[in-house]
Amino acid sequence: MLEITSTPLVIMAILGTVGILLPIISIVRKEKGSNSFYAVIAFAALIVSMGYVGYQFLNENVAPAALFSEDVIVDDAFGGLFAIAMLVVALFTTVGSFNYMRKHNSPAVYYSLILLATIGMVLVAYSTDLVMLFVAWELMSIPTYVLVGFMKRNPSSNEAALKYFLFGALSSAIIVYGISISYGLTGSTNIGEVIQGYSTLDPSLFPLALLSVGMFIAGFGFKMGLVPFHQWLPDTYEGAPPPITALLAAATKKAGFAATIRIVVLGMVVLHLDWTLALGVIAVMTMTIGNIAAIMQKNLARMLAYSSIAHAGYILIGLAVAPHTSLVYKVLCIIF
Amino acid sequence: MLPSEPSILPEFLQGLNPVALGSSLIAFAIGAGLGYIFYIGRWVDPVKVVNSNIVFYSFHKLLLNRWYLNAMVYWCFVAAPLWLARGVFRYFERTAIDYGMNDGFQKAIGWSAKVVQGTQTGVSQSYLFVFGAGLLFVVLILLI
Repeated sequence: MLEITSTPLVIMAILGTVGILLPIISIVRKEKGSNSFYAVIAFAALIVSMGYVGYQFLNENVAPAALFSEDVIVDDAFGGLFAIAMLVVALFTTVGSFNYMRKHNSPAVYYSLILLATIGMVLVAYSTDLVMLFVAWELMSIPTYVLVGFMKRNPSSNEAALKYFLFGALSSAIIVYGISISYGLTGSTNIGEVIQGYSTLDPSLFPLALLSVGMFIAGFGFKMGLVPFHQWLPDTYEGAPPPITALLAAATKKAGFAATIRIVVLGMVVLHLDWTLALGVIAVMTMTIGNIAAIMQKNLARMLAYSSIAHAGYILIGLAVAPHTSLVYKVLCIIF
Repeated sequence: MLPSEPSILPEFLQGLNPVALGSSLIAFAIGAGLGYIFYIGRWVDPVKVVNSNIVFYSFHKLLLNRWYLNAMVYWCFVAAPLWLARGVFRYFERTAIDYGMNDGFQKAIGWSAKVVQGTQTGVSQSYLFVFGAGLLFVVLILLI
C-alpha cells in the first residue's frame, strides 16, 4: 500500500489542489486580468512539488530503481527522475507564459490546465498498472487539447487543437486496445504481472502479444512524435500557443518515453523480440525524416516541430542500442 | 661478441671506414691533380681540352649549366604537383565535390524534403491512413 507521503500522491495533492483552486479563485475575484497573480501561484506549486521530489530523493524514501508493484503507482527513482524533468518543463512553460498571457484572457484556467497536465505526466512516469497509466495518459492529454486550442478566435489554433484531439483520441483508443489484448492474454492489468504473463505465454498466442506491443508503440509513439505517427505534430505545433508548443515538445514527449520504457521495452525483453532492430528502424526513420523535413522549412514553428521529431529519434536510438553495450548507450546519451 | 678483425689503418685512424677513406682520398687526389694541371701549373689549356671532342664538351656543358637540376626540380616539384592539383581539382573537387556532393546532396535533400513535406497534406484523413499503415509497419518489423 502506497504511503500518503509518497511522492506521486503529494505531487498530485499539491498540483491538483492548486489546479482546481485557480479557476475558483478567479471566479470569486471576478477579475479577468491579474495574470501575474495566477502565474506566481502556479509557479510556487511547481517549485514546492519539485522540492518535495528532491526531498524524497535526499532522504532516500524512493526505491532506487524502476520497480513493479502490486499498487497502481510506485514511488521509485525512475518515476522520480521523469517527474523532475516534467516539473522543470512545466515550470519553464509557466515562466514562458507570463508575458504571453498578458495579452490573452483567462490566465487562471490556462495555468490550471498546465498544472493538471503536469499531474498526468508525472503519474504516467510513476504508473505500474496499465489502467492507471491510461488514466494518467488522459489526464495529461485532455488539458493539453484545451491548451492547444486556447486562442479560440484563431482558426489556426482551432485546427491544431482539433487535429491534436482527433489523433490523440485515436492513439488513446489504440492504447486501450493494446491494454485489452494484454489483459485478455495475461488476466491482469498490472504491468509487472503482464510482463510475467508474457514470459510464460503459450506460443500460439504470441502474435496477439506482438500486436499489443505494436499497439503500445503506436499509441505512445503518437505523443513521442515517432515516424510514422508524427504527422499531426507540425500542424499542432504551428497553431498552438508557443509556450504550449514547448510543453508538448518537452514534457508530453518525455511522458511517452517513460511509458515506452516501462511497458514496451520490458515487454519486448520478455517476449524475446529483437526490439533493438524494431526501435532502431523507427529511430532512424524518425531522425532522417524529421531532419530532412526541417531543413527546407520556412516557418519557424514547423521547423522546430520537425526538429523535435528528429530529437525523438535521437532519444529512441539510445533505447535501441541500450542492450548492446552500456558504453555506447552512455556515449549516445551524452551526444544527444 | 665476436672479436673484431684487425684494421689495416694506423692506430690514430681506427674507427674510420677504410673504403670511404680511400675513395675520398682518391677523389681529392683527382680533383687536386686536375686543378694543379689546369690552373696552377697551366701545363694544359682547359679550354682546348674541353673543345677537343664532343664528349668532353658535352660533359663540360652538363656540369657547367646544371640545367638538369632545374628541370628535375621543375618537373618533380612544380609540373607534377600542378598536374596532380589540376586533376584533383577538375575530376575530384569540381566534379565529385562541387557537382556530386554539394549540388547533388543539396538537390537530393531538397527533393527529399519536398517529398516528405508533400506527405504533410494537412488533411486528417491522409494522416489517419499513414497512422494505420505505420501501425502495420511496426507489427511487421517486430515480426522480423
